[in-house]
Amino acid sequence: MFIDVRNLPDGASIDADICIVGAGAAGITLAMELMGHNFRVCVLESGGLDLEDDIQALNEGTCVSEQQIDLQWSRLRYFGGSTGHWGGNCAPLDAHDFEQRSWVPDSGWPITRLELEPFFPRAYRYCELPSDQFSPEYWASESANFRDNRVPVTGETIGEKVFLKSPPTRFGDVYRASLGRSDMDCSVYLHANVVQIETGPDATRVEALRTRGLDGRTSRFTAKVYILASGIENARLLLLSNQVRPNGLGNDHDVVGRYFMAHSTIRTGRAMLSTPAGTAKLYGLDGWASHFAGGGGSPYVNALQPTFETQKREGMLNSVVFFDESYEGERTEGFVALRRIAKQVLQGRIPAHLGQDLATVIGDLDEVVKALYGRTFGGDDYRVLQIRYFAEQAPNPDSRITLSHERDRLGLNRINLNWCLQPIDKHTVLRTQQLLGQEFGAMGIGRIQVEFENETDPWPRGVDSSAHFMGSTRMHTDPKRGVVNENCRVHGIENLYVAGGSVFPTAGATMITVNIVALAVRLADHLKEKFA
Amino acid sequence: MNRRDMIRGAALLGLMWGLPVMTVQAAPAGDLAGRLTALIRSPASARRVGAAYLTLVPTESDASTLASLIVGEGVPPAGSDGLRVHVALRQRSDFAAGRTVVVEGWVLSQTEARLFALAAAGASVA
Repeated sequence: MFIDVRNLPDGASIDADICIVGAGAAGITLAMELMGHNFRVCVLESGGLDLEDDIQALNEGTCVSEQQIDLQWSRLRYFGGSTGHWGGNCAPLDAHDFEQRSWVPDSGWPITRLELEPFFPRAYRYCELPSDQFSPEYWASESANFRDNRVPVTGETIGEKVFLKSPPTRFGDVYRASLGRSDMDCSVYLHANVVQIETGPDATRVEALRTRGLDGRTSRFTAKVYILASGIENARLLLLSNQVRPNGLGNDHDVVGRYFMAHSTIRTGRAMLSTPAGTAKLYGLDGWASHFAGGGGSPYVNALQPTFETQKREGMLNSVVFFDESYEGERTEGFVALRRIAKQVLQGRIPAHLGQDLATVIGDLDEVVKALYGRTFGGDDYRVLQIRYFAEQAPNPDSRITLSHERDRLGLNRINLNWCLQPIDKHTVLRTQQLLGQEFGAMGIGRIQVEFENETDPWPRGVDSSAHFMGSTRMHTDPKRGVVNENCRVHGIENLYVAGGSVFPTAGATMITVNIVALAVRLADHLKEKFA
Repeated sequence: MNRRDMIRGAALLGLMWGLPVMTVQAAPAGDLAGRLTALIRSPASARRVGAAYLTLVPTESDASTLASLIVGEGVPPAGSDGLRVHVALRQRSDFAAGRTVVVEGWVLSQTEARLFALAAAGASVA
């Protein structure tokens, strides 16, 4: 059942058993898993069923780091959350992502991949994956397309990682009907902006959540259990709820907001490979159309990945490599502007700087045309592929979310983000490209050209976060080193849980949505058992 | 690097994974440096990359030293095909062992970088 809080009287009080804050991948999964199990579930969503500019503006914040993140548009504040614009590529975290690695400070999860394994099948179903097979050997035996376009690697230094394509599942569309059923004791409250977590005097138990609308009307939600499932807003809400604890809830040890991570994603350098024409598509995130789109698309994307032994030997983080077709001109201002316009249009948005971008495109038309021409009529004797590195970011306490002095329309302090990369992050990309060059040379299939090669060189322009936001309420058994315990419960607060990427202690080198969903399924099972 | 340079680079690098193709006339036997540079398909590009290598490693600017370093210890194989295979194996072995050098952005094996340097050092190129 959907209820718009704008239609409730000011000061309304609503009681439930489990109250979930946020209707993105994690929140919707939790609601789907919990409803029908004798819980009264309520979901509080800041937005409505469609994107609204004034609600989306609540995302605005300040990013103070050298590498920038668009806080307003990298995440979507409406029913379905950021699944409204995700790419759909899925793969589980690697087993070693969960391990403590001596060369990666603050690495290690309190759970293993094996413990998370039972929850992936349901996560795959929620993400509508076409298969549960992630082995390159499986796809090589099943698919000629995969087999014929695969880059030969030894598997000793460089291995492979397969990603499967979700349609992509827009959770807000796909699960709307189920959550809207009137017979399931699940209510989704729209335009319910949580502005405060109320606790008792010792802050060991949450008593209620307060919401406020842009019209100033407030509501109060009470429940037995509360789950924050709002991405980086989780840390913000905990920091904002400082009425009892001056540093915010769950923050007695100054960990909330810290260890913010994203995937360092960068297109840099080129590979010249004597491989089939389909290689760029097999290894391209923007390659073959998904098979869901019809027309013989593919259900997978392959990536090259330094093996765990290599990572250990080289003191590097996890990373994967994708390819894009590349021709001169693609890195010009004009082409970048063209891409920016296209991306925004695909997201259903009116490009923010349309006039400026168009001027750049027009001013740079020759190069843009050259690039498009090259894409259409490229030669067949070798492939020039642009290399896209996608790397884990090391946990870093200085990479953090704090509260800005600026306030949003609800009167809440905005987010101040310092996305802080470290030398090991750059080392990872540099070593990955070097190892890739060595592998291609040793296999006799080609060479790579790099655009930066020294650890003292500045990062090249265009390091992107992939909008994969993790950490900031990380999982650790020690309250001094984490915000939530192994069951995602906030340390020191008996009925407050956190779901989503914010609990990840490390980032791995994979897309996060299906992993967020698996963790949400696990949390739902835990709650079913504990509170049934 | 513009597209033209890229294509020249491609032609040059064709040597390294397109070894079976014979596109230049063999140099006179007995002149090791000449025999080696005769393996190069795109001498102009080789000289450019080789010159860049020599600015990185100026101590290797002598042609006979470079030739010795390229073929390694022992007697170099007779005939251009034998020499080509020998150099190719050394290239791959360099890559496998991590003996690489970055020249003009290209990650090259030490052997091939020296081969290009040989072209730049003034050895006769067919």
